[in-house]
Amino acid sequence: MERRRFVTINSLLLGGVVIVSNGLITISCETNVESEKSSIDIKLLNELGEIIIPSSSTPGAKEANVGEYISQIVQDCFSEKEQEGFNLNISTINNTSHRLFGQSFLECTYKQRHQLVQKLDDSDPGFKSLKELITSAFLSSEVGMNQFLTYHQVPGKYVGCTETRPW
Amino acid sequence: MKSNFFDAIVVGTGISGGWAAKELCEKGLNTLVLERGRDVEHIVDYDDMIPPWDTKYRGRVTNEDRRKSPIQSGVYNYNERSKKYFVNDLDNPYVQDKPFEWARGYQVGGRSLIWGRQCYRRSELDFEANAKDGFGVDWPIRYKDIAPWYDYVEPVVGVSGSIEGLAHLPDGLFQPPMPMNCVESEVARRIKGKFEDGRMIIHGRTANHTRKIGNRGPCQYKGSCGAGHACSFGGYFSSNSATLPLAAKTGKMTLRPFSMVQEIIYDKETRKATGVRVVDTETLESRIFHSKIIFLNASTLNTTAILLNSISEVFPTGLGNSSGQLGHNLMDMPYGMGARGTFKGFEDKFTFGRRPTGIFVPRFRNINKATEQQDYVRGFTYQGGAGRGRKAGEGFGRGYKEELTKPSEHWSMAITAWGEHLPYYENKMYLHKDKKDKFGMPVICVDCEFKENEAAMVNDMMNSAAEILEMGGLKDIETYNWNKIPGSCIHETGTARMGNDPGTSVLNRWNQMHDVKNIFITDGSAMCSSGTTPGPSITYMALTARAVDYAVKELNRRNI
Repeated sequence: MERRRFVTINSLLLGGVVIVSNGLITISCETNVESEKSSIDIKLLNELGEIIIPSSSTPGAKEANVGEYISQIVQDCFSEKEQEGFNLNISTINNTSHRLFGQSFLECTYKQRHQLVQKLDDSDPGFKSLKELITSAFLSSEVGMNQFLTYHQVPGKYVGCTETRPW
Repeated sequence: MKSNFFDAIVVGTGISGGWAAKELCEKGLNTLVLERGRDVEHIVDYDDMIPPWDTKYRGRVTNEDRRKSPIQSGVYNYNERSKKYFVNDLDNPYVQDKPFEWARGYQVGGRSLIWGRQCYRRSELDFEANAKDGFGVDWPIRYKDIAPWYDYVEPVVGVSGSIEGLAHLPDGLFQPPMPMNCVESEVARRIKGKFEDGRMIIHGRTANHTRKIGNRGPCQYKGSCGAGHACSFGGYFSSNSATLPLAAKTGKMTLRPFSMVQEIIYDKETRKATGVRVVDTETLESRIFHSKIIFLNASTLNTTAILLNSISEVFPTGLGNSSGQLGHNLMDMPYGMGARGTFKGFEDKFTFGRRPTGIFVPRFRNINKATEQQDYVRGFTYQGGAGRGRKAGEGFGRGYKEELTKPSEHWSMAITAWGEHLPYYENKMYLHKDKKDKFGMPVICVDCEFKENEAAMVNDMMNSAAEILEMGGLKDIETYNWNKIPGSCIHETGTARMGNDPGTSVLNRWNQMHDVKNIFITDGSAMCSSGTTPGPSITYMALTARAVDYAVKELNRRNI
């Protein structure tokens, strides 16, 4: 990692090779496909999120719109390798759904979705990372942070030993 | 007075530059304060009050950030909101002959906006170390020389901490410490008096205020300072919150952002500096400003770069470099080795508030004959703390959601070592002979590494940490080493060191240049040793106030 940084900065100084990401070149002709795909992903993530973190006495993952946030960070923050991993995990959801129920996840009934999540949660490590992503998106949203839990923007004091949960 | 003539010029607005500005202005000097970056106005320019969910990436670093700032984006507190206080690495390149992580913040306030805030006085052990074991040159001062100046700056800085009565970690004029939490207090109690070498746990000493100072603070325990988001309550010390407003209040300060000093103008007849050449970082136009005295506070590497770039007939290898030491003896601090464990107990207890400091373990190696080590000189300290998060949860659905509100089963605690980096002549920075940055300044090359003495401490840093936690009653203890490269501690020091002998040092005991008497340097570059204890900034602040006092007296005596 450090070695890579070292190389990067030296090549910049030497006016060396500039690597342009393929994404930048191909984006113009794939925009429609990309945006359609991403809106499906957002919907899928929200529906999947609602199975994992359903609304109860407090709102769930769908109301927190975890899909939109995840879609944003996958696009702007994830490395290429992480993006590949994410896309693979999404494909697994739909592939499994087609195999079990002959239709995509979004076409499934609530019961089918529940069965599918049960199956993947027991067996698929990729699903675990998707679940963690959805959970962190939920807990960092306003819904998760300030309705499901309690957030103190300005605590005003530090108490090193209290019986009250701070969240 | 012509607009480009001043009594004093201060180069840089970080921790030490802010102090130089305040002290010079308060002593009545018309002072020009130069900053290469943009202005950052206290409170007005901060965004710490935006709730975390209202930021686009909720703190995450983007691929574009990594592209533009491949080095800064790896710094521990670089994130979506703090990134505006870090430089774009593409515009500010440097060459790493060996891997060196150089964190930089070019704006008014410099890195004082994003610093770690820990403040520990150097002790006599630190000032005597070089003379005793022969590494580097002897410090030209001792604790008694700087002690009154620590006393002078600490109440203005607002350091919270506890009085401990240790010779190797001198007490200061502290505000009340921030409390330990239940596990930290219990572990501190359990280890007290148990180690023959005196290992103990005390409160971290931090420039976060537990008492109000004027309109600053007190700390609201928001946690924004640690995340690099600054603080709208002025709850921690920065140039922006404290020294620059005090300098401005005198009416004597002219603050000039976007002004990058590239060169100091030397007059061989008077053997003094007459001023500085500044490049406007927006227009790239050059301009010269004159003054009677100059304080260089541009940060260790940049201060030295300015001197190395100030070439004249008299000083062909850099201004004030008759010793040949300029750029050499670069130090950081090796850190990141420690241990963690879990604590069984206090399961019904929590903490409230985001405390901006933790606990501290003072040095316990090589402090006397009994604690002398066979395989290394000097020593290290630990910073750490105990805490408790929430459960990760298993499964999915309502039960899973409910689990997310539950606390983790146990508390955990970790302590991490910060150690001394010896001064080695061959650890250095120099200017590239061809490459220049977009402002026309030669690019800095860094050639720095940790050597045998630093490596010899590593196992002890991990094992001693595990011993402390074990004695404190923690379970499931694991040791770790983050394998940090030089620079990543952000304690770079030593490239224009002080010393009694002009043949082996750049500055005298007053931080005054041996060769050019009206130049003073009081940032990290002046250090003769890294010190064993972290938190070097309070020493820069004390040395700055001391040097200004001397400089103005000398000016009034017409000696400079």
